Amino acid sequence: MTQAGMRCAIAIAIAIAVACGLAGCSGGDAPDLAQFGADPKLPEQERGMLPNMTIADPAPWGDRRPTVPPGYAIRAIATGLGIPRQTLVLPNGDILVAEGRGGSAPKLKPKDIVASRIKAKGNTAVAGGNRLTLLRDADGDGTYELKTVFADKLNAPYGLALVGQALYVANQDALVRFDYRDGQTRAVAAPTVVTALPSAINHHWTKSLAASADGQYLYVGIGSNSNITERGMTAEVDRAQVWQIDAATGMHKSYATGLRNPTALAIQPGTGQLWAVVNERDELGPNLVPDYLTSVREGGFYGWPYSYWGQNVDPRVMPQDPQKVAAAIVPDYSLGSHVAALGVAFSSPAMGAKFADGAFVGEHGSWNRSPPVGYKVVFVPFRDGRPAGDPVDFVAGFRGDDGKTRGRPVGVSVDPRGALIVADDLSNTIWRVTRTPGTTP
Amino acid sequence: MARPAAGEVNDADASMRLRTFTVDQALRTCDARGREYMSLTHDGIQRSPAENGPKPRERNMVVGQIRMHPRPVGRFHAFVLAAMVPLFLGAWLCDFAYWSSHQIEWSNFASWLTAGGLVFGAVALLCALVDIARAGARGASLTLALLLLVTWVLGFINALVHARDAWAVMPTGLILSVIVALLACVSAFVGFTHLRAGAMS
Repeated sequence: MTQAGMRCAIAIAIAIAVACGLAGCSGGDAPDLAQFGADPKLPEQERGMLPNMTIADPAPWGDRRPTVPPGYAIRAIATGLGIPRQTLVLPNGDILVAEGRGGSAPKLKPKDIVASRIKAKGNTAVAGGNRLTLLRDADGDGTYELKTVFADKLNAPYGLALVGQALYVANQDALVRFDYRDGQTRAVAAPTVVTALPSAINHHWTKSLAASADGQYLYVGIGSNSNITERGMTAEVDRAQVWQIDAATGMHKSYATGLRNPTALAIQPGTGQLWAVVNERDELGPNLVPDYLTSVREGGFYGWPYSYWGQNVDPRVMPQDPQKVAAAIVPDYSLGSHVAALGVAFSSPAMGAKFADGAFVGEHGSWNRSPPVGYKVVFVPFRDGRPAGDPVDFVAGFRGDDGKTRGRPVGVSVDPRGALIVADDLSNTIWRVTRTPGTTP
Repeated sequence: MARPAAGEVNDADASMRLRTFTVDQALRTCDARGREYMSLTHDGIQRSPAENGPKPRERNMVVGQIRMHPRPVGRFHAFVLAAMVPLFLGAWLCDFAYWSSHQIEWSNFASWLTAGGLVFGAVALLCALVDIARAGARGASLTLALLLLVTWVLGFINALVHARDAWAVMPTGLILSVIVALLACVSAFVGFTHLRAGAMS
């Protein structure tokens, strides 16, 4: 070899050594832990050099459909929406769909720029509708022949609730109220602001909503402004909590705190108890921290950011707060880590005997875990008003055996006539699951 | 080895050519560099060329040799090498500020400064590798390349550590920032000591 060739070889060898050194850090598959129910196994915290990311690889549905249990059928009742998130079944059977995309969180670190580009690959590319779309099946044949805009020019609407003739919509920055009359297909006027909601940064922008059984109060779930305080504690004022808002005056108080991202709220039929699904923190490992379904106690503190699942201290929060850790309530029911529960609805006997008593939970699916989890709607069986038993898959197949993701469930609503409505914000579709006529599951 | 005649290039060593020079040549070289003409006359009296240069008969005396680097350090290489240092030093200071104040913004600053240091560090490393490819891996040029390599790899690991949320950066991030900043300083010292256009011998 010539001298020049030798020199080039040395230079190239050094360059290759760098490349190999960088490539040599990747994680394997996470062990599957039984993380369902009241007492999930919690492994040690871990965080390697690179987070273990498995981003959804979107593909069109084609002839495929989500899978449902025997005795049930599923069909798409609306497509081509502007990112549907939550749905509300109105008394006459019409369905309202909240569509939009919110959040204005600035990218603070190089990591934010890299991660947001990667994560965007797993989401829809369409623009958010910032509107409510009304779907109507006038003749009851299961085809929703009317699809019309009920209200537009909203700001990332998410939570929906109807109290009598008041239709409440939780925008990302305010709780607003429309007048609603049975059968109406278009809002007659711009909405009235009930109260402004915390909206600075809006790292977690979704504002979930439920009305108390008597309609006197509205509950709004407000997500944290960070994964785990990396935007500073001052950004977390009035965040990671559920507000109780007086419907008449718009006055509010913190109803429960320490709920990292309460993405959906529901009032339990019969008891009137408020329940929530909560998305827990990331970057502590593939099996930490479990997302959960819990009854929300008035005045309760559920741990975020200081601890998780009771008294498990999160060392990433500095300064720490041992008193808050000691006060943290253990949630009721673990749904599993990173499933990203974004919807919850209590079932009714109209859904069939096997699924009569319990709650449906829409799981958007993980992005930082291998193998991925979620990407389905599960049914959490209840007994005597409490969760009892492992979750059962109710709508699955959003992530196919071929590794492609065709849909991602968000909000779920139970139609009292015996149907589950599922909003899918990847394929921008509303799915409706019904019992097959003539079967008694 | 016989001493070559004035102005003759000794090509036996292609990577580090020796060039003899006369007082006159030395004066011109030194003047071009804006340096003072010192200690080159046979009487040992220091004179500045502007006020009192050597006598005419002294002008053709061979007074020494210049080690000619075949490709003097480029201004570009010097610039990126110098630019890397304050960025990594800044990251260290910002990490220390976060460590002592718990104010998250310092950690964000440290992340960006580390990223900036990596950009300039990568270019400096590339320049060093090109030098090796052209002139061979020997002595200080190899030391510089290896120093820059270690600085960059540790800096990159530090950037990944800084991608963690909040206090999860600590204490690893601070420790790595200190090491990387010190390595960057040493790299720059080695670079500027070695990579000059010519050194008297």
